[in-house]
Amino acid sequence: MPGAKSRRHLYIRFGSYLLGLMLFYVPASLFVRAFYGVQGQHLVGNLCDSLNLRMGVGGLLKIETWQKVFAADPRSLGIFAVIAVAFLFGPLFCGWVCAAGSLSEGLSRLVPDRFKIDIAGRVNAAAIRYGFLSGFMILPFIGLSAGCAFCNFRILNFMSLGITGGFVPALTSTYIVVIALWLVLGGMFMKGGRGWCNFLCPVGAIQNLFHGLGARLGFTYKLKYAPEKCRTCLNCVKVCPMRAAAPAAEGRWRTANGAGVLFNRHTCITCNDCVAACPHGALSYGVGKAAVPAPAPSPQPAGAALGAAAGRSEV
Amino acid sequence: MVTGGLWLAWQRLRGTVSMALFGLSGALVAGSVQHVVQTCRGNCLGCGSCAVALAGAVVSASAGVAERTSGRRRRLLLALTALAGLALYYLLSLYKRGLLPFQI
Repeated sequence: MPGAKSRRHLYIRFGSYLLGLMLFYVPASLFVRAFYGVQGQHLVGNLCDSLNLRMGVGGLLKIETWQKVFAADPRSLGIFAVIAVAFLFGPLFCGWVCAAGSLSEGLSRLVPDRFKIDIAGRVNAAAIRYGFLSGFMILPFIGLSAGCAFCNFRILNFMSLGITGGFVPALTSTYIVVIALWLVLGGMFMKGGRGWCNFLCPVGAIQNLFHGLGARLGFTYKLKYAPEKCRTCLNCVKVCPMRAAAPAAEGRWRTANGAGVLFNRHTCITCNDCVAACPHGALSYGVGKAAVPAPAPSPQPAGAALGAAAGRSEV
Repeated sequence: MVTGGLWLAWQRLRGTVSMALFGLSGALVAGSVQHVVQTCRGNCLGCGSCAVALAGAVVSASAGVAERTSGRRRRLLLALTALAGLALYYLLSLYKRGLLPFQI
């Protein structure tokens, strides 16, 4: 059962997701409206006035995107802001304001755990997602895109428009596929409810890529692990919505009790659920080194091999 | 020396790369389907983008399958991957010509 600290953290996080809905999705989309307002333009709040992060990622290798950035188009600037934040502070967009991810995560809480798939330590989701991201960014060079037809942000825009009495188009088969993968298979029936985020979200992938680079520097914010305080209770593994935490192999860390935990920097969304769930204060979020590894007793630590095999960077 | 180091690095990375190839294949399939659905029905210009993307998807998925399997299982899965690519291309061709009885 989650403690009071965990529950409070969860309420704060869901509150921030609601704020994210207001900031980035129509009919409110306050972020884009405010940005255009500063430029002296008036908006009515249609679908195109929301933040198109997925399109932004798809066009990152194209010159046109950069031209739009220099023209201060907020819909293109958004992706650069999100990447900069991810580099310095971790993928806070995913962990704190992405209403699309929070919807599937929330739905997952409605289904008992015994009916859910748990991918923790079984599938290298980060590698699949990076592969998807590379395909996503290559497609524009052969005149294609995997943007709108398979965009869960767009579907969430339609949903929020529908709830507020706006126009909702008919469901096409691509939207049905997306809803099935995002909300049903990757949401309700996946532990953590972040299956879509884990395997298919290019916006999350590009943030984790930059977080993986940024976390190597001392001045950036990241999840920090103090093995000497860890008692391997595995509360962090149970609560992680991205299934980024997994038990470490024996000998990886010199912990207070047990083998400790490994965190995958390439799937962690810095939601800090694990920090709130840790009763021993072994996890924190801040600047400095991610972890101080204890001297390994064996020449080839088994945990390091596990981490490399699962595409993990050390935490 | 350098070649040996590269070979060792490749041996460590090959599992990850093979998984990434499946992700790449998924993106190419999605791109191909989106292109046909959004622009091509009754309006195919014969640009060949869908064929290029699907061929890329099949090659990428096949490379992933080849890395992760062996023997008869590998041959069977490679054949199935190629057949799936051809079937999808045929389905999209029917759709482009308006011969499917439903809207994709």
